[in-house]
Amino acid sequence: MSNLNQDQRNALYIGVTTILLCITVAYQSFFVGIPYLTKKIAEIIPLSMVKSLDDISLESLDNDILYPSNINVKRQQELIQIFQDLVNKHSEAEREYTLIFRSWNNTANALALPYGTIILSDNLVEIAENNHQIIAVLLHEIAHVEQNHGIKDLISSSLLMVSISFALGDISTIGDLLAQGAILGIETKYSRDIEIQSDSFSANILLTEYGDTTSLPEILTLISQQSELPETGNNWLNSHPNLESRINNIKVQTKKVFELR
Amino acid sequence: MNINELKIEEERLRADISKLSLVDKKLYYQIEQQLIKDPDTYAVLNWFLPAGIHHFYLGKSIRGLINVVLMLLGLFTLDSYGVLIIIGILLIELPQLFKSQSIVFEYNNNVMKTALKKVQNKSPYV
Repeated sequence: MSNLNQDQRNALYIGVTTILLCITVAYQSFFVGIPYLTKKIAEIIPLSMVKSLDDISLESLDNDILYPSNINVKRQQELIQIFQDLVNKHSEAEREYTLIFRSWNNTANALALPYGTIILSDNLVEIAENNHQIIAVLLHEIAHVEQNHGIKDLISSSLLMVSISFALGDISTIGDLLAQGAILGIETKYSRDIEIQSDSFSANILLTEYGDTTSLPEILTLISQQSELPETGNNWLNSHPNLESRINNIKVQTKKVFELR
Repeated sequence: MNINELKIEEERLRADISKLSLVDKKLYYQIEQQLIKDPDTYAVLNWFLPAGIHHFYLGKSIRGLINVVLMLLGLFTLDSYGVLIIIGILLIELPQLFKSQSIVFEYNNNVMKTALKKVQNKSPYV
């Protein structure tokens, strides 16, 4: 530093400060600014639009990857009754909840659409060892609807895309790839946070209603075992947190509720 | 000082510089060239982020550092009172963007005065 003249020192301060501020602004924008704006924008989206999105998504899924369910009607009705009870007890959002069953290419999965349509795959119903495990999944999906995750996800993706394009401007192919990588990384981080929030919601209700959260890790483990995708330790590009993180989060939630009691 | 007063001051200084000998003039311009600042660069640094880096450009490191620390504090506390801090910095710093021409003009006049004094004190030819 002592070898530098005044001009060089000033340039150094400007450079260091600029880098520091750019990193801070980017970090805070992506992890504080965009989630805040997302929440505010999601609050003003009209319900009619949310319903349309729900209908269009279901139609598209039915055309592409979902097939009519093979679960017998009696079992479907039993689960719909359980679902309605859960909704009556735990739903506060202005949504019309519907539970539907679909065959999903041997995938054990469940999906919540923004207006309250929840899809359970045949495989998930089949691999569940008891109704408690299905209740855990349904609560997780109800949490997605209650906390408006579908709409928030859509808004945050759009905001992220606009912000990165705005910040980087007209970029080269390599820059474009890097930007897309950054978008993917940040989006999946948002998505993992959403999953953890929904697990927490489900765990809290399971604990309050049934005094035990084990059905949630149990069904998550069964889904993970059934999945063809390998469970990896590095999950920064996964839309869902890895099984271990989710189970740990459920344990933490359970501990918290016990401590509060 | 407003821009007209600064222009008059600059003309007066230029008149003094013109009275220097050729050798002193050369020396004077060598010093001036190193220290003179560009108002547009100052404005761009001010506009870029209201964080005080334009103060570093004019060598006001302490003022720049205070601004940067406040700005970072504001950014890290965005979810509580951070927005107020950033608005506060904006309110203080933004007028300087509009006055950037006269601020740098005044700075450059002071540079000219200092350079002239240095040359005059060194030179036996004045």
